[in-house]
Amino acid sequence: MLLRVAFYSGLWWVITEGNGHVGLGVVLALLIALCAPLNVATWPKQLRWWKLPGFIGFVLKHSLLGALEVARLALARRYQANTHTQHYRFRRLTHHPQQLLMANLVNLTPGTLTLRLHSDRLAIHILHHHPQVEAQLQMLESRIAALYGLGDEP
Amino acid sequence: MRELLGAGFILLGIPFFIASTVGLLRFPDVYTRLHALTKADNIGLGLICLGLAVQASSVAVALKIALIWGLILLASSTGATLIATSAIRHGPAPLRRNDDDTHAGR
Repeated sequence: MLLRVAFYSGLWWVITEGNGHVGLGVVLALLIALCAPLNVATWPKQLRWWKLPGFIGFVLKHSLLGALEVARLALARRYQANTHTQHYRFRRLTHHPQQLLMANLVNLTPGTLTLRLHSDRLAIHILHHHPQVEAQLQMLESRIAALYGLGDEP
Repeated sequence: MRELLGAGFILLGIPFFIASTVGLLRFPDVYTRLHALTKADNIGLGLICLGLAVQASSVAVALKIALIWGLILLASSTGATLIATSAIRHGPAPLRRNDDDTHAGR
């Protein structure tokens, strides 16, 4: 509870650029911390917070690679992309929030876009198919699984 | 020094926006265009936000800019999947490698 209040207070401090009323911020943070868990599972207990910085770094690196791939294809003299659609079956992610996180992150990783989220798999559009796509998706799933404490990182 | 570094990041972000816009115009269908919007645009915006954060007057302002980028990243990614899901239900199927799109690459 203390951690939640500290987090929401920090958020208040950031949003108000450090000029907001401290008392009001703490009261709001306390109210949100008390009310949010009633309806929304925003704070999964199994989340490994200490792995978050490494995970964010991994996502940013892959986002940059994805952007470079799009830029290369867009600016090429002739558009020649090997577009493809495929299904990716979840191996380790069984809960909907984890699958939703993966569906979102697939959109930020190189050459992949989630077309549809099913209960046990993702329909994925591949901008330029290459043999590493499946391994790339498995790596992403492993990272998310590790973040949720579902297994060791590869 | 900070001003220079910030300007450098902003200048680095601009080509990604240009590439994204070119991709939006050149790519052949809604699905490939979504790739351009979700990837190149977000990195371009991220670099511009980083440039602005470096030039920010306080840590709180810098963190606020980073928070804005994070929220846009989340909204853009979720929006792309929603558009793609809607397109695949009601629109044309994604083009495949051998499909000939006469407008692609122009």
